[in-house]
Amino acid sequence: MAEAKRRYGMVIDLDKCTGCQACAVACKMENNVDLGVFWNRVYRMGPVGAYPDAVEMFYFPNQCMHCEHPSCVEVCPTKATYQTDEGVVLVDANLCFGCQYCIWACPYEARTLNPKTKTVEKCILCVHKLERGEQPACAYTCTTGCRTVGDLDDPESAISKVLEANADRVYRVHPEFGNNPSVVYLVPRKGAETLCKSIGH
Amino acid sequence: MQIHWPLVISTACQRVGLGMFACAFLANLALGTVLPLNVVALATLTLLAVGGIASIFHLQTPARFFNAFSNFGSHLTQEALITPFLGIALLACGLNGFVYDMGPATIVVETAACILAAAFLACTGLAYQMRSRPAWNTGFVLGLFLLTAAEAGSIAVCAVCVLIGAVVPTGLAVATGVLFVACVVVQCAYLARMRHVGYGVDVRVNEEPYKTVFYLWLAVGVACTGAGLAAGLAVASSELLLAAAVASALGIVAWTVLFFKGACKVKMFPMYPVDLNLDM
Repeated sequence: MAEAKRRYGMVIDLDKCTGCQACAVACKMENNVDLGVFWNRVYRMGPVGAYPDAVEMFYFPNQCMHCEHPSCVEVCPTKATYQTDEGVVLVDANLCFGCQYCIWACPYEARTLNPKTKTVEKCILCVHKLERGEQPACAYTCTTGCRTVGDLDDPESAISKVLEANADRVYRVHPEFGNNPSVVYLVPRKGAETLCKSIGH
Repeated sequence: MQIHWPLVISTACQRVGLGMFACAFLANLALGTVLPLNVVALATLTLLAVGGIASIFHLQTPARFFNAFSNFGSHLTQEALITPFLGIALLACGLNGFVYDMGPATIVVETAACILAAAFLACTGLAYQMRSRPAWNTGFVLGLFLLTAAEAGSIAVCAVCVLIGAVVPTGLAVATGVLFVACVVVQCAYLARMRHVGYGVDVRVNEEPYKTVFYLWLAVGVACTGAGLAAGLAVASSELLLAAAVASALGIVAWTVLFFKGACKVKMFPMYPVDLNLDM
């Protein structure tokens, strides 16, 4: 019997992220990412609001969202950017001619032009590790275990269970664009009241 | 957004060149003028070549240019596919009367070149319509690319008319005036829309860092172009009309710089008054 089709995704629990940047470092080491190029970064939102009761602050790890309907794949004239059967969005550096159209089209600031190779780069979800049944470097290294990676289409996978258990905190960034990102966030329980209010949580 | 100068230059050259060819063709067809379309086609080819060379500087690995013919759904691929046919059609028009005489086939080739020119401009306009850039996420972008081409092209055609010693037909003069006013109105509407695009990236063009280029566009693209066009048509001066055409082209450049500057990326969390910080 043929193996059921997988759709890889990642859940990032913003309640657990401490902004330590270990994931960003692990990503660079695992994938030999050049100096000045980042496939994975951790940003800080805030602090905003009046101290002591209305202060909001949280960390936000950002990388390629491996969208189900990626804008980058749609616009790439060379087909250097493509989507695997498992939903991972990759760039074939041998085809990319550096027009940067994909960088403009991506709503998630996930792509960087490598000034050395003169091609566009981004997170590859450590697909080489996934194929070996291992975790991507960022998820493996995360000191708080805020990242869960797996098959979004398998209801028995760890990622599906995390999503089910935290259904009230699930947040996909800019869902109105219709990209349907495979990187899903769990909003923080505290410190992101404005965000929660605006998305109806 | 960073200003991509090669793209500013290439899109400005495309709009002026292709707009001029299309307007000259339509003027000959509808208004009975006898503009030398072969000369106009060669001038258009020259502008397209300048634009093409400029756009090569935008590509990081231009040697791989031929990979661009791969994704038929991408407007850049569509643009790349149209380019050789447009080039051949324009070259055929340009050599007509100098090297050979196409006779009755002339109108067919000219029509094909005009359609390809419009398709090329449409593909370029559509390429910039992106959801990730709220300022560009509108049909205004395509409209502006076509309208600016028509405006600059019609002014250039008026200049060509006077240069060859002909009288600018009333229809052409009125159409040029209407296109100029329509272009300014639509550009102003686009600027007004930029104030309310949301996602935390509303753009107020009379504030920094936009106001210098905004005032430059007003001065060159509106005031100088309008004054040059009005005076040039009034006294039938080719110098004034040429100056108006150059001012219109420079106005397109200024406008395109503003177009790039205003194309800010959506904020990840627009509900907050501040943007994400990077602590490293």
